[in-house]
Amino acid sequence: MSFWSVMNYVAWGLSAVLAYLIFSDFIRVELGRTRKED
Amino acid sequence: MDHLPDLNASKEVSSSSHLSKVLGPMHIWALGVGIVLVGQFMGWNFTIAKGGSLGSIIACWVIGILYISLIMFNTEMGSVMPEAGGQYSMAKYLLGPLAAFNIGMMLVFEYVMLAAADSLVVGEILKTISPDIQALPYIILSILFLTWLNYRGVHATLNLNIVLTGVAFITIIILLFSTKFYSPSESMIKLSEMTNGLPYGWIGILGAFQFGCWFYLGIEGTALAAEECRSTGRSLPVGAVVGLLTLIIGATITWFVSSGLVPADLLGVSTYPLFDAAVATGKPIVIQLLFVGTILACLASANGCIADSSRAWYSMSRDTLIPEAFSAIHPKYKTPYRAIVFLMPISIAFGFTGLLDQVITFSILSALLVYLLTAYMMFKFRRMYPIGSIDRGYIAPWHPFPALIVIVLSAATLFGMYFGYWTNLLAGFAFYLLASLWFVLHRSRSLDMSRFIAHGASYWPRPKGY
Repeated sequence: MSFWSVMNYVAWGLSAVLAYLIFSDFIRVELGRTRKED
Repeated sequence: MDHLPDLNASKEVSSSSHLSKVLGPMHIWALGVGIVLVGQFMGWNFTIAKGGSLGSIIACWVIGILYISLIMFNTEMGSVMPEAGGQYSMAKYLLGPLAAFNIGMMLVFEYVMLAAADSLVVGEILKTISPDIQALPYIILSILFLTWLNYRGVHATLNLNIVLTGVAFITIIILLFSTKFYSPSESMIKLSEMTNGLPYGWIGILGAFQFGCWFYLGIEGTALAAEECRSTGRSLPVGAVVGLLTLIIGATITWFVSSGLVPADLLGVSTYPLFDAAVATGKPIVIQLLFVGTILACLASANGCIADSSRAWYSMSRDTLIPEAFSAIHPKYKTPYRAIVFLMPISIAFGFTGLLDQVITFSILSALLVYLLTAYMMFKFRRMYPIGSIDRGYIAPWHPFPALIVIVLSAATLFGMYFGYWTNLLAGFAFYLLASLWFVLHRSRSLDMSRFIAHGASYWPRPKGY
């Protein structure tokens, strides 16, 4: 496997980390809002 | 002074949902130039395919006049509307809900599609390094990274744009000086040998107008960040005018260097004209710099597009033109986080299609329709609020000529566009017609008119005769 093929997986991995960071915070904020409304 | 009613609603809205006021003129410059600078690295060269080398530079300057005129009155109206949304907010107070809905949609699609196109180009450029590189993970990584930055705060996002835009612009200057254009005996610029004049006559210039917009498309987005400026009356005019001057200088340099280094028949169909010009110099450092510059310009453009599209979507939601769920502000970062997250998959979806020219044509069509309506709004704005009736951060000179110039040149560009992309043009009009029907027949029932105008009611007097 070439270096650049490995980098493709690195890019996918970083994308997954960023998606996790965005959506984990999004869900936390939304749950906080729901609790406040209750 | 007579004010519009329902000031309580205004206070309620402004206290419960406001964006951070952290931006100065430099950020506005970075937002405007950052979105547009990518147009110098790719796309503008199709003007040569349509109108030849001479047609290309004529289109560059004529469309430059369109944008100078647009920025004049766009900045005047933007400087008295210290809230997110730009032309959308103007339409809200000057034209009413249906026009505001349409302009909001046009702005969102102009920027969402540009962001998709930018990320698509990042993926495609990286593929030139090695055949083992796949574009898709880098397209998605670009959009996710920039979405994450926008999610966390506009200040850090636009600080990054200052760096990206500055470095990308410097690479163009380095390319220019690497050609030794200043020395007649050593200069690599061979304009007389490389250019092809005006092969299709004056009709070719008309066809070139559409792609001439690429040099400047999106600079008007500076007004979208009005609400987040520390001093709107100062930051908006200074940032927008200096930004446009930067672009006009950059566009001229780009045409000069590329046309002097690459034969017109090759330049007219190139995917990366500035990178090809760098390759023509044969200097490895310049080639690598332009490779990096192209990627940075794409990232800066996509970054600004995500910021602008989410502000337009947020404003429409806050005014109840679309479901109110999108008007929520992040409790910590003070960003329109729901709008940012909602628009992200749409950008990715358009990036997946791979139809770069189609995506961009729809973006340009949306922008031209916004320009026509903005010019009309300027006439109405001066009639509703004559000079002296309200405080203006900037007064556009020579009214009504700039607005007339924008109407004539935008109509001419749409006419030229019809010859090459008539299906896109009709599809675009059909889309906005259907969206308008949805709004009139369905969504307008949920419109809260007092809330719709509440935000401006606290600082705008009721115009005479309205």
